[in-house]
Amino acid sequence: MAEARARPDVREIKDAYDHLFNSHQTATKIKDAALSGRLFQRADSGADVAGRSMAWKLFLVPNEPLQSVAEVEAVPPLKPVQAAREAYRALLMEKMRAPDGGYEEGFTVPGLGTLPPRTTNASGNLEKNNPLSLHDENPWREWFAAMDLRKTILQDVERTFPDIAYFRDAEVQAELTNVLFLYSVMHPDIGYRQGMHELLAPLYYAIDYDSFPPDVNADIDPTLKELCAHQWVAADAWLLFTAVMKGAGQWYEWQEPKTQPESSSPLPTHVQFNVGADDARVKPYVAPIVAACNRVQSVFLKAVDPELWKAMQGAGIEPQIYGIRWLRLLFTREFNMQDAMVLWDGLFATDPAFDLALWVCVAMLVRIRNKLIPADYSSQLTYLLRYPSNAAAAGGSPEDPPIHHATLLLRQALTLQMSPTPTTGVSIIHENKNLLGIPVEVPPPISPPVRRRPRAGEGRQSFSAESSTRNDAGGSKAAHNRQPSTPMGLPESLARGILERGESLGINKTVMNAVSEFKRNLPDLATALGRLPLTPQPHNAAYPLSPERPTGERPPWEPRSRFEMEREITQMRALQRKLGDTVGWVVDTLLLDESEVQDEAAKKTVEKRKREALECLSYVRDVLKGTVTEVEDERLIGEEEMRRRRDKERQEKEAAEALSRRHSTPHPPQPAAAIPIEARPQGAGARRSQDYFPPQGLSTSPPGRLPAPTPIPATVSAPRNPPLQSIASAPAMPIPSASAQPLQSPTLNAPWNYTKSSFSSASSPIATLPRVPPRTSTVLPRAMPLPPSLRTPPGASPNAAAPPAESGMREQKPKAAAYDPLGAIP
Amino acid sequence: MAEGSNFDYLFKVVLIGDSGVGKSNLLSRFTRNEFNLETKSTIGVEFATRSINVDGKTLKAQIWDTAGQERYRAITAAYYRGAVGALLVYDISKHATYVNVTRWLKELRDHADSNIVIMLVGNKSDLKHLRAVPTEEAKAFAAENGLSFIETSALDASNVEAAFQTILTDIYRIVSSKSLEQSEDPIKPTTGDTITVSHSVDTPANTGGKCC
Repeated sequence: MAEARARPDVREIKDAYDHLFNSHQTATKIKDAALSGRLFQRADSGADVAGRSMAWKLFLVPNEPLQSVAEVEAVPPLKPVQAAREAYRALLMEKMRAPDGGYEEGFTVPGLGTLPPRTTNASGNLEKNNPLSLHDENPWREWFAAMDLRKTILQDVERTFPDIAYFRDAEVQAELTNVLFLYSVMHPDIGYRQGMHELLAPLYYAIDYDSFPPDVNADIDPTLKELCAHQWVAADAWLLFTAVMKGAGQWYEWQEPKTQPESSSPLPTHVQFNVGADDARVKPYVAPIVAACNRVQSVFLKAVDPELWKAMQGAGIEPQIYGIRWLRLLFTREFNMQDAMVLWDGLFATDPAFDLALWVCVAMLVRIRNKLIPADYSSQLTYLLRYPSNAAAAGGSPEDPPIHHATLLLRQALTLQMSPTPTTGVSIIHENKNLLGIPVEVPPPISPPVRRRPRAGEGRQSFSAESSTRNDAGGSKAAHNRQPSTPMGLPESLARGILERGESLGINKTVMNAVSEFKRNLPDLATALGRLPLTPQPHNAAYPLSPERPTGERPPWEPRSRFEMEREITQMRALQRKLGDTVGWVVDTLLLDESEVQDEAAKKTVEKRKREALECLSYVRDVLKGTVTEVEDERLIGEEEMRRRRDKERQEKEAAEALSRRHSTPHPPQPAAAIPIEARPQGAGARRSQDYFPPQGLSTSPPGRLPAPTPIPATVSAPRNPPLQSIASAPAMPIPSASAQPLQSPTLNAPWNYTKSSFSSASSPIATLPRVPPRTSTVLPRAMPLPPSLRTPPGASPNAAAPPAESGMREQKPKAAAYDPLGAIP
Repeated sequence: MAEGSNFDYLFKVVLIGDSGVGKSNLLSRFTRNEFNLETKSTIGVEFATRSINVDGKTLKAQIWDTAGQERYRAITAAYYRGAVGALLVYDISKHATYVNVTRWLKELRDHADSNIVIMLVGNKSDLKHLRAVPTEEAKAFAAENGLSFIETSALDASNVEAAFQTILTDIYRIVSSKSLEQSEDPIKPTTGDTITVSHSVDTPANTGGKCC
C-alpha cells in the first residue's frame, strides 16, 4: 500500500507552508490567488499539489474570531484545528463504543493509534442491556442501527474513486467510514446520503498528501508539524468535511428539517427554521437541492442566456436531473480530479456557503450551449449527465497566457454572479470563443433524417433489422409532418382551431402536443388516434413525440403544451363560474328568513332549501379542496332550484316564441317537419356536453326528457370561454362520414367537455335519437329576427365540423331548430 | 444508422432497487455491453438509450438509473414522470434487497403511473453459491403482485437482453393493443387527471415558463 500513498518531498510541503503563512500575505490575497488559479505554482501538475490542504484549512476553518481578516497576515488556524481533533477523538470514542463498553475489532483511538481502553460500564440491568434483549430501551438497538449505518457507508466508501488506488487501501476506507459515520450521527436530520463519500474523499486525500509521516526528523517549524500531523488526518478531514457540508449540506437535505431550532444540524442560515408550523404544513416541502437547481436553470440561466434557457426548457429538461450530481459532488464527476480541485480551491476561498457553485453551474451550461441548443431532449440530457470534457479544453491565445479552464469557469461564475444579465452572458460566450476556441455561432438544429448523434447504447448494439424500418420511417415521416388537407378527426380539427390563431406550427405537432401528456393520457390518446380515419404512420402515432424542432423526440413527460394549458384553464374557469353561481345561490337561499314565514309548510320548504344549500355548499368546499375530481352538477344546485331554472328556461323559450309568433303574422305558422333528424343531435350533443355551455336558448326539450346529467346554471355562458370561442370560429374541417365521426360538433363535443357520466350515457349523439323535437320549435314561422337574448352563443355554433355533404343543411337547420324559430336566417 | 433518431415508439423505463444490487451495471450491460466490478455509486440519475426491434417496429428505450440508497426524494417526481416501465432489481445474494422490494413497489404506487409495467429482476444470478433468495419464492411473489419476473446477471450477461426485451415488448403490446381497440368510448375525460398539483411542486419554474 506504500506506493498508493505517494507523498511529496518534505521540502515541498515546507515551501508551500512558507508560501502561505510566512510570506506576509494577507488572507484576502491568498484567496484571490486561489480564485485565479495562482495559489500553487504547480497547480496544473495534477491532483497532487503540496500545501493544498493547508490552504483549505485556512479558507474553511474560522480562525480567531472577530479578526479583521482582510488586512491581517494569514496565520495557520492551528488552535481550532487542535480543538477539532480533540472533539473528533472524544466523539468518535463515544459513538463507536458498544453498550458493553467494548469497541469493534481493529478500532484504534484517533490520534494515538492505540487500542481503546476497555471500560466496562455495562449496567447491571441485563434485562435491558444485552444484545439479545427485545426491550425498547435496549441500548444495543441503537448500536445495531449504527452498525447498519456503517455498513451502508462502507458500501459506498468501497466504491469511492475505483480508479484511484489510494482509496482501495482498507485503512483509508475505514477512516473515511469513521468520518462519515460521525458526521451522520451528529446530523441525524440528513444522516448519510450517497455522494458525501465523494465529497469527503478528496479532502481526505489532500490532507493525507500533505501530512508528515510520524517519524519525520527534518528541521520543521513545529506549527507546520502540528498542522500536518499524520496521525490526525482523519480528524482534520472530519473538520474540513463538516465545514464543506455547512454549505453543501443543504443539497443533501431530503426531508423537511425539524422545526426545532435546537437541532445541531449545520443548516445554512437561509433555511428557515422559524416558519410557523401552520405555514410549514401549508407549503409543500421542496427539497433545497430542487430549489437550487430550479434557480440555476429558471432564474440564473434565463437571465444570462435566454436562448439556451429556452432550448432546455423547450426540450423539457428538469434541472434537478443534472444539478443534483453537479452540486452534491461539487463537480467531481463533471471534471477530472485535478480540474475539480482547482474549482474547489476557488469555491472554498470565495464562498464556503457555495452560492458561487450555482453560478459555476450556469457557466458550465453556457460553455456547452452550442451542444445543447441544437440538441433534442435525449442528447441534451446526455450532455448534461456526461459533461463533455473536450468542451473544457484549455486554450490560450499567443498574447494571453493560457488560463486553466476551471479557473476560467470560476471567473465567469463570479462575473455572472455579480451581473446576471444577457450582456454578461454574451461576453462570456465571446470569452469562451477567445480563450477556449468555442465558436459563437450555434450550429443549426439537426433536422431529420439526419446524421444521428452518437448516443450511448445505440452504436454497436443496434439490431440489424432496424435500418430498413428506419428508412421507411424516415421517408414517410417528412410527409407526415404537415398534412393539412388530410381529412381529420376530432382532435385535429380542434387543434386546428388553435392553429389558425396564428401559430405557425405543424398541425400534427399541435395535435400531438394536445395529447402529449403521455403519462396520463396514454389509453385515451391511443384510442383517439386509433379512431382517426387516416393513421398511415403508426410510428409517431401512439406517442406524441413530434417536436418543437422537427428533429428528435420530445419527451412525453415534458411540461404540458399550450393546448393542454388552455384546456385546463378553460376547465377551471368554467368550474369557477359554476361554483360561483352555486355559492351565489346558496347565499341567496341562506339569506331567506324563515321566521318571517308564517305558513308552516312554507317554513318547511325554506328549511329544506337551506339544508340543500348547505349540502351544496359543502360539496363546493369538497370541489375546491380537490377531494372531488368529477364535479356533478346536480349536487351543485338544490333540486327545487334546478326545477325552477329549467322551468324558467322553458318559459323564456316560450316567451321568445310567442314574441316571434306575434311578429310574424303575415306568414302562417309552418310546420317544422323540414328539420332533418340528424340536425337535432346538435342540440342533443350540446346538452350532453353541457358542462360548460349554457342551457339557455339551447334547451328546447322539457326537463323531464333531459339525459342524465342536468344542465348547469344558465349564467355560465360559452362566450366567456375564449379558447372555445376561437375553436368555434375556426374554419370547418371536413369530416368524412357521420358514422365514423359520431361527434359531429367538435366545439360542443370537445374532449374536455365530457364528463364521465356523459360518456356512459351515450357514446354518440345519434344513439340518442330519436328524440322528440321540441314542440314549440316546429310550429314557428321563419321570418323573425332573432331576439338578441336568444342569439346563439358563439361557442355553440355547430358549423365547425359539419360534413361537407350536409353542410348546407347543417348551417341553417340547427339554428332554425334551436335559435331561429322564425327562420330569419336564410 | 444515419436515421437513428427515427423510432416508432419511445419508452421511458426506470431502474429501481436497493443500493448495490447492480442497476447501473444492468444499464451499461444492456446499452453498452459493458460491465464493471467497481463502479462508482450512482449519484442522482444516469441515463442511456437503446433501440430494439419488435414486430418490425423500432422501440427506443430511454433507460433511467438512479441512486438506490435513498428514495431520492429530491428527484422522485422527475424520475418517474412519464415512465411506462420499471425494472425492480434485487440482489439474489442479499436477502434484504429482496425484502425491500415491497417498499419499492409502494414507491412505484405512490409516484409512478398506475399503468406502469413492472418487472421483478433478481440480479447477480452468477453468484449461485451465495444465493439467498430462492427463485421459486421470488417467482411466486411476482405472480402474486402481477409482475413479470426474471433472473439476470449483468456480470455474465445472462438474461439481461431478455429482461429488457421482455419488458419493452410487454409495453409495446399494451400500447399497440390500446391503439387498435376501437372502443366504444370516445376520448376519455382527462379532467382532474392532468391537474396534478403535487407534480409541479418540484418544477414550478418549469411549468411556469412553459405557458407563455
